[in-house]
Amino acid sequence: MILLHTLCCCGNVFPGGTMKLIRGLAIPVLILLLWLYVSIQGFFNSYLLPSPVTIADTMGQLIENGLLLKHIGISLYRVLLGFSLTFILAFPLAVVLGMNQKWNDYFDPVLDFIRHVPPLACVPLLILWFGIGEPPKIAIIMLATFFPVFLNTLNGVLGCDKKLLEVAHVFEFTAMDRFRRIILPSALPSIILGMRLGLGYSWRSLIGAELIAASSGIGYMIIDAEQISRPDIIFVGILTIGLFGYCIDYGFLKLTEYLMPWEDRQVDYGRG
Amino acid sequence: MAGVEIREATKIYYIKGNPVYALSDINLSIADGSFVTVVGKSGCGKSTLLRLICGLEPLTSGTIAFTVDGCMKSRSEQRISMVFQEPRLMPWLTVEQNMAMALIHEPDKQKVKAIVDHFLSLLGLKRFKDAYPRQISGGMAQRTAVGRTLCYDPDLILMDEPLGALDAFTRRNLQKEMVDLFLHQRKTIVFVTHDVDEAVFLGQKTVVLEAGRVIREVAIPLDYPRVITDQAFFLLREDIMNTIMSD
Repeated sequence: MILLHTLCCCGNVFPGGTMKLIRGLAIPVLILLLWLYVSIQGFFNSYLLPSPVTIADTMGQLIENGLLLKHIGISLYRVLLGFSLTFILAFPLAVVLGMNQKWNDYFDPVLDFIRHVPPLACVPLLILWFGIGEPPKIAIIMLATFFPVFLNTLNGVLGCDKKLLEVAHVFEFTAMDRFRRIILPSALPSIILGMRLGLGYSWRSLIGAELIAASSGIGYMIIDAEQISRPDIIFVGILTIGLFGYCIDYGFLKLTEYLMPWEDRQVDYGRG
Repeated sequence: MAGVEIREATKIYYIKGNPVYALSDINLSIADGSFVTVVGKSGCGKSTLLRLICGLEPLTSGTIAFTVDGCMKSRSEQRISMVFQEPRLMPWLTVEQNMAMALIHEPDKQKVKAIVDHFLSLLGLKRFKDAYPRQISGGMAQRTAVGRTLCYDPDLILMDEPLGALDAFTRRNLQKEMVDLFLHQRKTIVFVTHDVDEAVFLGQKTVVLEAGRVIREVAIPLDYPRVITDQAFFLLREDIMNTIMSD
């Protein structure tokens, strides 16, 4: 890696984007090579750590028989549904509370109480109420996603520069104009950050919920693999989750660049 | 155009429960279509005076009335705009869009474009109309803020040290542009500055504030454009400076 780093730094062999890609791939490739070496040498039992080749084979089979795509499809559906419902609830509530701070006294204690309850702690209760169908999983996602979306949107609205609002006052903006033209664009970075964090939390909580009570989805695929002693499938599940999380995050970065052309740099909230 | 009549205006801020008089019993008349500059030391109440006229803050006591052709009008009947010390441009809007935001209530988009184009040209910003605020210099940003105010077509323009943060060259250029704009537009302008040279260069009358009170009003009977090396200019500047320094 040191050699690679020296190569990348000393000579402008590759353009900026390619060099960044090479740097980003360096550690995963290194781990893969190490893993391959360890597997070939037989340092670990293949039941504990299957070889990357086995995992790639399994992934190929799971894709071929459509099982992986089926589980991904179901998990994605749950994440998107749960996240959308959360956004519909959390976004307007944060905007209303941010613009009318006198109402905060009513909502603060309740929201603070719910915020401190881990969503997974509610799983038994949700199964008791809704059974093991879709509703408890969606409810868990909503509980996990609500606060990142709500709090970041609220902070964005509250953090709107008062000096810019004075400009709006000078030019006699209506309340709706103030929201659309000043507060919303000003809060956009925080809102997108909340959405990105919220989507990440959605995945984590969904897999948790699927591990506990489900008959489909990536989480179920992982727990089912454990029961039939197939660690290779567990690895496929984990890699799929990581890969999807990364892709969704990348999509959000691109969305941010598109929605905020006035930002010169690539916006990388939470990564700095 | 609009004049301003300020009568016994007082503004008190409370800091940890203790009253602090930002302005005390101010009486001031600003005539229709005049260029009035306000000078004084830091903390003398210059900016507060503008914020009260603009309606950004309420008076503690007293009145501020507006006159158009000798008739009294309320604040809501006036188009008043303010240029702040910093440009206060929306970072997500281009120069052109920032200027157009002043015309948010104008439904005719063609008319908006024509007005914005006119002031973009007048202020030399045409080439930078698609730039975002972070891409332009401080002087251009402040010109954009002035352009935004002019697009609004206010009866009264309030300027709170708009050139304070600029370098000497840009500042001098913008001062000349201000005079040109005043001569062309003939708006009522109240211009706050801590620079006595600037006050004499721009204003037809200079109001000297000290500790929240008007201590002197000085007429500046010089023709535009003014030359700062003129004897009359120099004498007026020294006179105002002595007034400020003597307190």
